[in-house]
Amino acid sequence: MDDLLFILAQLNYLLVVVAGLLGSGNRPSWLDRFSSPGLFAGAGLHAAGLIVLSAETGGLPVYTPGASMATISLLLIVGLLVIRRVPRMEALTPVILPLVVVLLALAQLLPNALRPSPLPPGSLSPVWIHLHIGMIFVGLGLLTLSFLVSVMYLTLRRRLKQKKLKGLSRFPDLETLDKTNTRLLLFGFAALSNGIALGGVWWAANPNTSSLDETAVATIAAWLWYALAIQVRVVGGWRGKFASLVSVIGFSGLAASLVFVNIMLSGWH
Amino acid sequence: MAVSQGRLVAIGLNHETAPVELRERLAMPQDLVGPHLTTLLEKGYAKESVILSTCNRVEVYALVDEDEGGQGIRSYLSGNRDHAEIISKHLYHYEDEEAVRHLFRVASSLDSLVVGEPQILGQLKEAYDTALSHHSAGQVLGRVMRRAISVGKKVRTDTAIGGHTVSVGTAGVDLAEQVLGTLADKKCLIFGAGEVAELVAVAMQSRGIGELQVINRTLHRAEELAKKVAGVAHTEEALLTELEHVDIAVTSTAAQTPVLTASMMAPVLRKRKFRPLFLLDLSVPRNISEDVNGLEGAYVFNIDDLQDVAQRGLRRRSEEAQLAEVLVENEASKCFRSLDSLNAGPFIAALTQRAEDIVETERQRSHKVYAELTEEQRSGMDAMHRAMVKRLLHEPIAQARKLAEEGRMEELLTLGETFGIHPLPADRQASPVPEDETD
Repeated sequence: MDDLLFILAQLNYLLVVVAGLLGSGNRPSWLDRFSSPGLFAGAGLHAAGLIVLSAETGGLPVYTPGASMATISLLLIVGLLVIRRVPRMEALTPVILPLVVVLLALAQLLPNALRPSPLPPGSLSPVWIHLHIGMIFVGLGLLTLSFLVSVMYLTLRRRLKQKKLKGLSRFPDLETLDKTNTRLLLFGFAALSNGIALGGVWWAANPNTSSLDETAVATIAAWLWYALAIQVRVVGGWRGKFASLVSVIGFSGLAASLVFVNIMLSGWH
Repeated sequence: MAVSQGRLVAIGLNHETAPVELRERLAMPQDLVGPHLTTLLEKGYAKESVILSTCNRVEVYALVDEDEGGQGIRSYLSGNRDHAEIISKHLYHYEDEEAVRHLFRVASSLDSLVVGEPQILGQLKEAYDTALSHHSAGQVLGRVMRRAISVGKKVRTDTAIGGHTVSVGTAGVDLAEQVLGTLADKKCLIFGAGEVAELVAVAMQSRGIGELQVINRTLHRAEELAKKVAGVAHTEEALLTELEHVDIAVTSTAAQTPVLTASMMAPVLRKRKFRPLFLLDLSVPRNISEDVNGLEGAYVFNIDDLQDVAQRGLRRRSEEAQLAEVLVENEASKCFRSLDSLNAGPFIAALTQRAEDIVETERQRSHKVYAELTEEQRSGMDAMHRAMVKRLLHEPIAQARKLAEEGRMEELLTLGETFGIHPLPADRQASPVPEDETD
């Protein structure tokens, strides 16, 4: 059932992408009116799929890489719905949606990806671990958006430098991208910090865990990098290519290490 | 060929035929246009000439010998310079009616980078005034230029071609808004206080720019412009310091070498921590060297880069432009045909002179005969004589123009003989015949 809902959500997302890619003069009027309702419908189907998955597995859809991808992709959609309210930022739609479609496809295609994992044993209430995971996921979602906004900034910058002004109106302006990126970085970093702190509390209170695993190390390393990114952007006041590259490099490293650790190695910690 | 005095040519290059690198090689500062006009006449390349040199075009309109056909002007424009062969390839060359049509399209802003922009008409007037002051615009070019200016005004009045005003300056403002977002919280620096600088400043102000600063070599001109646009004036020494703080900088000066280079801008951009600086260079020759765009944080656009923005304006105005094209076509054809009537000029001049001589003789005679008349009565009698002669001459003058336009020169000579006059060859200087071309 959850598979069907995810497929329907993907179809909605793809239609929204197609509607956006067709020039406003070329697309049929029904498709023109479809974007926002299509996005909301897709998000609804996506969320319903996750609820069904949770009901079937008896836990939050975060304990396996596949379930995590489905959850993070929904967070990206929620983030997109918020960002689209900023003038001209709807330009991010055809960038984010294909990524979401790919993540959802991977969530379904990876072998045994959506199997539940038992809640790790511990002396603290499960609320702590749920808050820890929730915060980390929100942080990752926001930092993913920050990465995409940075990529868009760098693309726009490149086009401007090369004087390619055709189709410029499809992009948000540099300042809007820059401000959005700063906010995403700040909120993402704050969520990641809280998530790590909550995980630390749980880890300290859990007598059965003796050392940090690969996921925790990768997350803390990413946190340190993003602390540097905040320093560069917010405290140092840097803008432009270098500030965006710091976000891109940070996210690329974090994504690569999480994929490697959780899919290629032992799995979720 | 309808111009009996020679061949009418329009030779030059513009934003469509030549890149800015070539245009800036040919660009003529306003104070050098006069000497160039004189040289063209002295070297015998032209009998009459007008030079139009703007950011987007350098053109010579001239009356030349029919056999020579404007080759001297071509070599004058492209010769004695590096890359002469390349420049020559980019030159266009219109003759007779095509030349008139091209001039009318230029005057109507149909040939502009941004169709419908208003500056070109003023620039054309200035070019004609310069030619008049250097005695290089005679009967033929005088008539064509005056008619072109009149058609330019008519197109603006009768069509909505300028309805969505997007001059080169405002196209730049559009681009700034697209790249940097709302201008309400932005600071803009204008370097230069000329006509283009003022247009940009006004456009910035109308879009609600947060703060305007004006810098010019002459402080009082900067202050004048700053006063008009509610801005702040600075001396040229403050340029680099102010660039550290603004979001947009527009340069429009007559400097012949770049005023902003990469070595000057690199420290400025570092101090800005690479916050985007939108640099709009509306000058030809360019004021900002090309390598500045390679620096992080600097986004440099020159007038050629506005082509894309201008194309949008072109689309919006395409319907109006089509109407204007029809109007220009008709007017150009009519004007070119009317140049033949200039052949009637010597006849009309001689007839008018003869009539004035008769009036003067009779006036002196009547003053002697009627010595008792008061000064007021004499003035009244003089006015009556002049009015009678004017009315008597109206019909033969109109007939002479018609015969000349239709090329019936034999009949024109017969008409002259009827009045006992023998028309002289056309003079190069502006016609004494009252003109009704300008509005």
